[in-house]
Amino acid sequence: MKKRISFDYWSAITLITLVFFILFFLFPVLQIFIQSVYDSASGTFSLDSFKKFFSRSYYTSTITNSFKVTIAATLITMVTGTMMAYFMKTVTIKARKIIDMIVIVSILSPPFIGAYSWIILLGRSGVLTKIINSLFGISFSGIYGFYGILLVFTVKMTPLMYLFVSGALEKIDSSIIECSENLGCHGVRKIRKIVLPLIMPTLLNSAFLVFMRIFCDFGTPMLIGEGYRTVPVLIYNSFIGEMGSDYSFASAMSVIVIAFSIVIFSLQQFVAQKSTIKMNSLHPVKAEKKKGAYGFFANFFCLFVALLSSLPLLVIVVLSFRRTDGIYYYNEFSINSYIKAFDTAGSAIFNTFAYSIVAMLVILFIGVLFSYVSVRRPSFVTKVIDVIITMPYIIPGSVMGIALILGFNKRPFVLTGTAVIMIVAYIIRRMPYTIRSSSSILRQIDSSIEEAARSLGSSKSRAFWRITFPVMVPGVISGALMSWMSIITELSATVLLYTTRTQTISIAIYQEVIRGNEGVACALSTILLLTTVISLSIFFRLSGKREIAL
Amino acid sequence: MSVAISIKNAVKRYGDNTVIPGLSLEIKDGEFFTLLGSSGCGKTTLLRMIAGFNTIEGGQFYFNDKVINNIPPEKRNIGMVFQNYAIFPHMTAYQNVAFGLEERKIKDPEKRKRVEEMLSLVQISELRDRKPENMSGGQQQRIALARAIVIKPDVLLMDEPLSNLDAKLRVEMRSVIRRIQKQFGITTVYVTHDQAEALSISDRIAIMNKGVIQQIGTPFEVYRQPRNIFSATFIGESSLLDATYVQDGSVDISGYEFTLAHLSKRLERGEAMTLCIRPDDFYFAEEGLSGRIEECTYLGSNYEYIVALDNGSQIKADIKATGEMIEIGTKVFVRFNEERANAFSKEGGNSLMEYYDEEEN
Repeated sequence: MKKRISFDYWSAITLITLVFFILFFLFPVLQIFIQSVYDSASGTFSLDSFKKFFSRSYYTSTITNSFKVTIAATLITMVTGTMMAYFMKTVTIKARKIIDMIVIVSILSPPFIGAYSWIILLGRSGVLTKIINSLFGISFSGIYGFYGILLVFTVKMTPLMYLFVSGALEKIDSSIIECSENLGCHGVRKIRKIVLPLIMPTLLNSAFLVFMRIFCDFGTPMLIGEGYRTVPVLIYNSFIGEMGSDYSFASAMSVIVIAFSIVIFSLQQFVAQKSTIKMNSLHPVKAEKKKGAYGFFANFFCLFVALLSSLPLLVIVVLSFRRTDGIYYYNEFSINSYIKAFDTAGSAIFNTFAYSIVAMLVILFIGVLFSYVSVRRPSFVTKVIDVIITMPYIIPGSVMGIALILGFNKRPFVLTGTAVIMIVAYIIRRMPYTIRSSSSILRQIDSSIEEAARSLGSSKSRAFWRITFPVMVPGVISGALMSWMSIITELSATVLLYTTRTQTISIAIYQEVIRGNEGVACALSTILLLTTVISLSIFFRLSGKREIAL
Repeated sequence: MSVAISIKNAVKRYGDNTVIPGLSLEIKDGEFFTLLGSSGCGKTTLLRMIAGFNTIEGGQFYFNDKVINNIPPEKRNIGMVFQNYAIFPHMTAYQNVAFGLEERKIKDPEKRKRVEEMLSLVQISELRDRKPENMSGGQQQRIALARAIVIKPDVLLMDEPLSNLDAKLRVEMRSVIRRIQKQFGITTVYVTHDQAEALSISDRIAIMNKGVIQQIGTPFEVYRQPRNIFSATFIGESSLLDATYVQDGSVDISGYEFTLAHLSKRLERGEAMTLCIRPDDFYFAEEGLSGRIEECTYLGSNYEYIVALDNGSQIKADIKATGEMIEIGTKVFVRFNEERANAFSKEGGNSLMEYYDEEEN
């Protein structure tokens, strides 16, 4: 049989995906690189922006700031997350199920809510601050700057680290532990020589992931950092800042951030390749009842983490139902904040749902079909696309936002200020996850079922739509719900792209916090939180498991 | 309506790697034909070329007189049973079996009637509304078989269909497959690496090695009259003994003469050969090849002895377990059934028996 190159709709899908990523990802990101070495005054090549950045410690300090706080938070969460995972897996913890639910909800809750509610609790005029000051007669002025950011990230990321590590612990067969005890290896020694080495690859991988998340986060340092400025904050400020936007400078910084991200990402890939351990456990380690100080401490620790993670969410929900005049909260129940929220941010609520649903539909359509092409009919082009789609993983949201502005603020593509650019930002940021998860679902579906369909008389495309696609659907929808939850809370890219007409809930929350309209911010956050919880319960129903995979 | 399959000079290449270098084969209408070989011998590749899932780099494939090389799989009217069953996981047993009929636009009541008939034929009517996730491998395989046959295919292709089942179920499913194949008279191509399965189920067997067919024959022929030393050692167990031709059918093994019943008439004195003898063709006697018992294993009906002969060879002999087991180290004399021994040329390993005198070696 001669090979004929025919243009079927699988090639069309490949082409659409390629064009989409070239137009909305490669092209704008390229603009950043051009802009960073382009002097707009003279219109020539210039490294002035880089010189400007590296010559003043005011700028370079943001990099050290970013690294300091990111490394500190990552190291702490590695310890706390692992401890919690080990306790939860080996010791019977009271209220284990509730703790697990709290952990998952807190991971999926909007990232900046944490910063905001810790300000309410421990800020200058925070609830806890006042109690502490009156109790001890000191004048503690609230937690801001380095320690504020550190607190928020530690509380936010410990559950995530816990989730990853407990996944690895689950794969350790109890016979391995029993065997080590049988050979005379107990207690701390057992943990050090057997447990830790086995979970080390997972631990390192998760550490990199957490590192990138913290490093790229914009909302938290912006809200609670005050004078302590990190790189994403500086990028935002130099782009939106009062002294007018300096595109060239913001681009230069973006390039520097991309460079750092690439280094960290390559390091992660290197480590991941060096240290993989294949484990398959028939009998996972069972939790045992532990008496005495150890059991008490384990219980206390897990409950404490759960409490800290749920505290910010509780604060938000409670405050959203208290009457407020914008400055003071009164001890009365009221839905005033909600009425105000719908008044002032009604369109933001509508936008959030409209944009995210449109974005999800596009992501699903292209993502599922392309993953099929890439897994079942790989070609040179699909391999190129596979490489391109790993790149958005390592581009921070704020950098992506700037790229999109630079790419689409002049002819022939004027998109800035439109809903389209917001949706595109969502798609670019989440599409890689969908393609990746659909591809892994597809790899688990044996291609022989499709061949069986063909032998029974289905054409290629019919075999896909009648057999493979329906089998994929539950997994794909679960993945889509995960993506959707992160889209509705996206802030770092869209905060650069929105206009008053295209505001979303998370931007509105950010705005209201800045303006001091805390009641409205709380109400909006609660709406987001509720949406997350509802999506999560649908997700659990669909996947039939009480677990999430990120 | 089933068809005869004929393959002329089939070539399969993956890049520079030639898996099948030019293979020809005739499969008769209604025949149960087995491709037997170890993994990587090209048997599944050939099957998938017939099915249309692999491209064909050279040669012609015919169903009766029609060249099928360029016909897509869905138009070949084949029924295929896969190694992992390939049951559609989102459909019930009934929907699985009905699928092919729906693709052929066959409507109720005929569809229902044919599906029900088929389900009861493979004895899984009671599972009709169940999804495959809760079914055993044997039940899934029955669905797969029903699904492939209900469409009345011209050809039934089976790719190691029993290899994922446990031993007892495998034997049971063998007879199910055999019974249904005969009942419908569908030309069947069956791929397996299990020689016992191939012997018990097939009308004819093709033994494959490295993309080349070593022998085609009935189960009796491939077992009793192997065409070359590969077939002889691949199917069943054989002990190999070096021998030299003397004359009139007699051969010399380290100074001891045996007369083989069916040796070729074209041999010359002094020609070196290798004898292949099945374990159950050996027996102990008062005289013969001398050696010592090296190992003995009790197998219930038989004793299995490993004997180290004084000439350096080692043989395996299955002896009826009627008397006491002979102890290790005991000196014995070994003879074999001269009716059933096979001889092969020392060079090339081709059969030196009279059955192949007609052919050019």
